[in-house]
Amino acid sequence: MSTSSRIETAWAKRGAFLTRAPWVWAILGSLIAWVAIGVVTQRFSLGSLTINATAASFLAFVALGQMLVITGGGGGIDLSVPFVITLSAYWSSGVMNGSNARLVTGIAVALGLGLVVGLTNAAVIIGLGMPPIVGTLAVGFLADSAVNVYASHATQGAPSPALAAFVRGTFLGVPRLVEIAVVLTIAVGLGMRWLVRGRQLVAVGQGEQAARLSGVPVGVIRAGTYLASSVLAGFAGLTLAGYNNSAFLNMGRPYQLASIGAVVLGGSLIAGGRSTAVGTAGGALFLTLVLTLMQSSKLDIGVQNVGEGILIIAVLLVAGGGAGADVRRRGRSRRGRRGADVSAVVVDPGAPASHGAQP
Amino acid sequence: MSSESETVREATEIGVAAWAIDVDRVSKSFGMTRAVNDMSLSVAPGHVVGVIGPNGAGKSTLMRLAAGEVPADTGRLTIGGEPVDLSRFSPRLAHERGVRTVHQELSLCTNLRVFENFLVEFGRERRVGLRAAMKERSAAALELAFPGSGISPDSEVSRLSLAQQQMVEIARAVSSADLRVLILDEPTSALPADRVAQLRDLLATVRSRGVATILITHRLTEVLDLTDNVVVMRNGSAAWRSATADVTRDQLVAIMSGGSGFEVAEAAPGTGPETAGGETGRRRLLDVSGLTRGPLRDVSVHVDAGEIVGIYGLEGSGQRELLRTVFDARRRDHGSTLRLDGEVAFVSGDRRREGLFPLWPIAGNLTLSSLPRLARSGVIRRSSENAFIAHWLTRLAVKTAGPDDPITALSGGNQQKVVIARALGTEADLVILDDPTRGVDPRTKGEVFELLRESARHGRAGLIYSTEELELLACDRVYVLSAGAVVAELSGDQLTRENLVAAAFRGQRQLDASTATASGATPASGLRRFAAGVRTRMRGQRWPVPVVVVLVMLAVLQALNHDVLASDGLNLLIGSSLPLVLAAIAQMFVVAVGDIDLGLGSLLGLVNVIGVTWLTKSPVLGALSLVAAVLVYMLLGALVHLRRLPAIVATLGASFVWLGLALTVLPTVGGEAPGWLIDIYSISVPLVPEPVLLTAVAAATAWWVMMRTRFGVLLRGFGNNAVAISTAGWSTLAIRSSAFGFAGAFGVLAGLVLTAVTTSGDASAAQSYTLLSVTAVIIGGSEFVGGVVEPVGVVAGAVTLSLVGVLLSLLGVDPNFTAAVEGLILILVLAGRSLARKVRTS
Repeated sequence: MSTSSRIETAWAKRGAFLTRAPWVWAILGSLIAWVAIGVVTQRFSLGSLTINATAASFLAFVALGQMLVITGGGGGIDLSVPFVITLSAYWSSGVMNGSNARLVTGIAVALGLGLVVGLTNAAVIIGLGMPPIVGTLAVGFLADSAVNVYASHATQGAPSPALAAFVRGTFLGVPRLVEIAVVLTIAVGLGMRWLVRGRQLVAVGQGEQAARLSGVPVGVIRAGTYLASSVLAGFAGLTLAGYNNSAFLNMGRPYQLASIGAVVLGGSLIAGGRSTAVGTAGGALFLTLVLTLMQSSKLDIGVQNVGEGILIIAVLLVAGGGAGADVRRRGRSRRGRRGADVSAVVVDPGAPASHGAQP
Repeated sequence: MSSESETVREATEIGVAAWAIDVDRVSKSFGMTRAVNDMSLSVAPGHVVGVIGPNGAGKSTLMRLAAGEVPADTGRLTIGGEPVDLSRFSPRLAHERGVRTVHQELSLCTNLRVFENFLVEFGRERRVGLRAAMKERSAAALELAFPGSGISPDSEVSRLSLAQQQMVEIARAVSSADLRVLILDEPTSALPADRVAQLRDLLATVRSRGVATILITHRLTEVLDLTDNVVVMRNGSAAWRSATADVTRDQLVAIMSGGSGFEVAEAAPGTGPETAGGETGRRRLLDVSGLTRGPLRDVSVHVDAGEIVGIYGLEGSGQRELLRTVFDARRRDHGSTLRLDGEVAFVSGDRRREGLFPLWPIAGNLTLSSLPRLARSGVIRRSSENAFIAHWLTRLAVKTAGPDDPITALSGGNQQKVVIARALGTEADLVILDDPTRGVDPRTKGEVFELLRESARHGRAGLIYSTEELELLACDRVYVLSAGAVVAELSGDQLTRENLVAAAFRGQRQLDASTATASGATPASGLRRFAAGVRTRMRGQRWPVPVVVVLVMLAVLQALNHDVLASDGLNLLIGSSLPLVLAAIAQMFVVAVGDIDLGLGSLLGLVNVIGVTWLTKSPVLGALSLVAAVLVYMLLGALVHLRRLPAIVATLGASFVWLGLALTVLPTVGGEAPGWLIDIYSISVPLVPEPVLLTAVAAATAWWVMMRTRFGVLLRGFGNNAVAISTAGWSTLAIRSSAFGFAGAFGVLAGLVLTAVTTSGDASAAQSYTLLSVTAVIIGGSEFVGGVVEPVGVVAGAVTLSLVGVLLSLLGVDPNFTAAVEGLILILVLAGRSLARKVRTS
């Protein structure tokens, strides 16, 4: 613990900029991927960047929510997002049914469904103490069933034309979705820095017990992240349906791994406590560009999947899991002889397990 | 320091070569904290040395150094006359040299049985008949160490009392055949008086075997009774040494309470009464009357504005619980037993776990608790925050540090000043401090106290627990706790070191005297003993419930449709559940080590696709690719372990690789299962339908590997207490990687059976098996925390889940609801367990 933290400190001083701004890699990667796409398609155009940026915006919405959950630490992760996306898209399209008159109802349904799923996630994870992975996955399956049942009983609707026109439109020559994503990214980034709740969230991710003893309402904060993640996923589903002018089953599926991937690629710690919204948005862009690159290279869908999976594992390998990665495993069951009463100088419990972890 | 150890050597008149263990001028630092500082300690064979000293004096760290659990920075170590290469020293090497430790924090795997814990420690010795040998050994060791303990080798450790667990651990260490050095870290804190007497006899036996013993304890009686020499440690080095015969109890008390170099203490008592007298009718901030909760017994304390109130007591007397209860009273209403008037802030001495936010610079660490005050409608005002930081940095006089420097670059004392400033900065009326100066240098201790004193002058108050008596002398009043009860309240002239220590030890002695013996009598008759044995084995078993549920499900199905229990019906029902049974077993191996495999469904899909293509066309290539899949799983497990990856993300990423490979092998649905596979799967065996037989074989195999082999014991032990396994000298990397390997192997089997059942290939058809397998593992009685798995229950859980699908369709429920029902079952089972746990603890 001691040596590694000393090394980290020295390292932090030397590469201060890159450590403080890990999102630089994601932006740099995006640029390289864009150039590579140009080389492969033999056509350089700002247009390809715009299209990819639009596609990346949907991912950015979901990934920013995912990032908030991950920031809270304690093994926090939201695996229910793909199901929320599909549910919101499908149900709101059904409600709107191609009419502008029911636009507001449709929006309310999409965000409301996100809210309901988020509340359920928070209830099973914070209330019942289920591990986030399983809790969000189980709740996700409930949402999945809801889509299937809805789809089998209702006619497939369509988003209202106004919504479709809005999300496909541009403002000052830039796609509106991209602008929304940029604004949202900045808002989340600033919020984590300058809102009391944001600062408390980062604290919870660094040390649950330390935060609790500092007077931070840990449960409330974590519950809030699950709400935010689900509502953002609902918003992504709504805009995605508008953009495609339809909703279809399993439309959210690619976003499960990709949202986590964008967070990791962006340079946030998967164990929580340090996150970068700009990096997450950059990661979303990079991941989208890489997928486009693989498509442009006429790679099979199978190979594309393999590439995405390997990319994310590789980035994790480079970044490492960090000390908090095994919090979930130890959190509740750990008990010393006298409860909290632990001797003054304790070896890092993970230390014997990490031989050879340093490159 | 060397001159001191010379003194001891001369005193005991033994040459260097004869020491059983000779620790020579070792030092060890954790970050900026020097835990052990140039410390020497030598013990001759057949001698007992007592090590005493306040919390944080470095006693436990010294023992960890001697046992190879932490590497020393500098110094030399000689065991049995042979020097130890400190750079290569490890727990395993220490064991080979005959060093065994009984840890202060229990190092048993609580999910394992008693004899299995012996196996973890001594399992390297042989392979055949290991379990039987360990049962015998543990029974013999317990009988030798604690006659009449009534602890069965078959008992699960978590079902034993704390005292019994301690006895198991002591018996285990002493049973080591090549024992040369025995280290006991607070062995008696959990033991009742009669067991302490047995321990005394045991130590005499050990001594006659020529074993050197190091005993760390807080109980002075034991030091006087059991040891030949005594060493008092303070701030990482030896403060005082003597032959035990030359000291009296009163001398020891005096030494224990003296000489820490805490400078402010002498001046402070003058200021205390002064403030106390300054105001009358002060606000009562905290009023606890007759609080009985957890270890606390009828505790009454109060704190008024302007006061600093101390809490003192020997380790584990309930001090911490009292502080936590008071802090939690912000949110929880205790009625009239605990009244809290005003805001509370908390300071913990355990900086690493409960104080610091290591990723933040000093500024973030300083302001966190005060943010609501520094913000307007939830938005932090930059100017207020900067002013706050500037104010406190000046006041703390933290040298060389700017607000943007990393908190980890500060010394322990300065870190603690930041943590205290965080609490004081909230301007809370009452600040609770839990051993706040642990591992902090004396000068900083003085400064810390000065900060507190100043905040008290502003009408606020402090409630402080400290292990250092001298610090408490600076308080206005001190409550002394013993065994959860207040045994004394000292203030004014009464508040002296001697009185504090004497009160705490007096309470202890009363406790020792009053502790009742709690040993169970062994049943007499053979039948009774058999019944008791069965009861011990069945207690806490988790498989009966899932098994009963399966039988009930079958009965319900039979009632709905009379063909179910006919051979063909059973064939079909169980046959379609077999892929899930195998998938659940695969998932169980990953859950056993505390991880979750989110790629299992995709692996099944890949195997399915390989089964209908390569395995049909070229069986060798197909078989090799399946072996490769298992190897990749092992590699994944190794990576998760070495790079500490979150298994969730790693396996989720892997799921895309599996799915992608499957889509590449077979882009569309189709293919044809190899004829031989279908043939194997539909062999008809007499009496039982083949799927039932296969399920039974799978369950038996999983049960045997998990519950009967040494590997299974280590696997479950790792899931419960990874440190214990690695301290016992096993490779945790190999264990984790093998667990993933088994998961891969069973996943491949599951995929093959799935192919035989569906007879065609579909890359993404098996996705649902991921959640289904997790659900089966959980409803089968396993826990996510790792180490708690129940193979038979898992198999029963998998069959149950399959039957649920059948039941729903028999009842005519929309198949779209199936996933929802499965998800709900999982949530309900976990909710039920969570409730049961709450009921049990309250």
